[in-house]
Amino acid sequence: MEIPQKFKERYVPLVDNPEAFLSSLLTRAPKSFRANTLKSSASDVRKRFESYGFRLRQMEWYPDAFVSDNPSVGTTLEHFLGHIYMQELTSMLPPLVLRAELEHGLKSAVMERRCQETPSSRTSPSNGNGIIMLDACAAPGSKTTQLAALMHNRGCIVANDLDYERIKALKFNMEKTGTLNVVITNQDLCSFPMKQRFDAILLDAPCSSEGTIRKKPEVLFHWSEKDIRSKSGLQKKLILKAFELLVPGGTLVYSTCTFAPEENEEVVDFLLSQTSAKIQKVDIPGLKTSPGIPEWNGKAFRPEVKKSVRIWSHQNDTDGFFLAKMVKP
Amino acid sequence: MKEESILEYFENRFGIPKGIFSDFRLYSDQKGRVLLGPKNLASQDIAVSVGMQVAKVMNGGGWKSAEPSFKRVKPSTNFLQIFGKHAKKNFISINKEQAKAYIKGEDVILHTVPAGIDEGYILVKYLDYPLGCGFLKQKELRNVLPKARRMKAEFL
Repeated sequence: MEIPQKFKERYVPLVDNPEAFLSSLLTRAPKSFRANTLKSSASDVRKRFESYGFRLRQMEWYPDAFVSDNPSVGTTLEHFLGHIYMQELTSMLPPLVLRAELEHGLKSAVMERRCQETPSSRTSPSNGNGIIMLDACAAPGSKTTQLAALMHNRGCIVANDLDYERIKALKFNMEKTGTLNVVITNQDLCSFPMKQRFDAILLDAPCSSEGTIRKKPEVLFHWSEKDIRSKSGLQKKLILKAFELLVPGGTLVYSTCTFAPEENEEVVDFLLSQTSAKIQKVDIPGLKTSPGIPEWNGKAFRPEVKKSVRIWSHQNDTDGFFLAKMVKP
Repeated sequence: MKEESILEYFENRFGIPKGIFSDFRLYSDQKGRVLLGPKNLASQDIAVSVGMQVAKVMNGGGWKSAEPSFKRVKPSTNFLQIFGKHAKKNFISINKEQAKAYIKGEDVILHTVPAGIDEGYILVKYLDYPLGCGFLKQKELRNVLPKARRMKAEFL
């Protein structure tokens, strides 16, 4: 596999260790999975795999995440039972950075329910159902099912996808993982009805997928700067719409599995320039990350864009990824 | 409420207590499918699906018109995999070789059927794990695993 010269010219100047970066792209990332806490627990999964003689590495930054030395994870009882979900490590990050909001939402719901149970406040309006969240481009459901696990199947996740065929995979994965708190919708996000607003939104946007080259080398065959520009235009429309759909005080996580700044920092910078959105620092203790880049092709971004994070494939032996977290004042 | 009769069925057939579903709500569709989903739905008017299918009422007709009978109601494997741990009756435990065959989608012939188990849809267990749904007819455990869930298990 030959990495295009243009690709190298774009990204080599941005990384700390170009040699390690380029060579990581030519090898496959290790097999990873997540313990599905709707059906099992990280400690039970670990014990079972150890009884099979697998050596697992548990991620410091997320104890439900494992890397296996044995690639036969897909032939285990735990895979059949949905006690584990095979998922790339970086794909677990967007739900993880929403964990505090999800847990806070659950606590509020419990408080509300307690209030409802006291006669004096029985008439006060309250939905008592916890956080309402939108997974805007949800199929095939890796992140939806993880969000449901973090929410303990409470509240409600609207899992939307434009592609009806991919919704079948989403539905299958939901049922296998024991996910109950989901409503599936099949809408173009740009025309998603405005009458429902969300406490939190995950926009894992369609992208040029450069970060997945390790498992899908064919990405390089189709790679072009024209495609990057076209995806960037779409992502700007999607992020504006997602921001509109938030309640005041709501949180938006934007993510891609690509390195292209046009699809990452430029999209976040666009949102900050067009709306009242405030960016928050993404912090994932235990994971090596780099801050968002300050400029690209001679165009400087707002300084706060550096609060977003990049994950280069050589830093943690994963796919490449980008994450940013914004709130609506 | 009619929807709740499915919970009566789960309680009568498997001893799964009704109370554990109190945080969720039942929905149903025209094809006899019963779904368990969130209590309060967001974006309900544009929903194409809600929650998880927990059972199907066989032989046509809306499930609401049917009295839940053990022969006509088929609990889903996905449902039994999460809530089967609460079952107190009508389950069969199988051994490792039988579990391999069951997961592959094969029928299993049992050596003996423990007393007190009713024929019809039952819960299949391996070790402490609810594997899913099976149909028991005398000593034959018929495989009703959804095709997409069948696989070759090497480690169990």
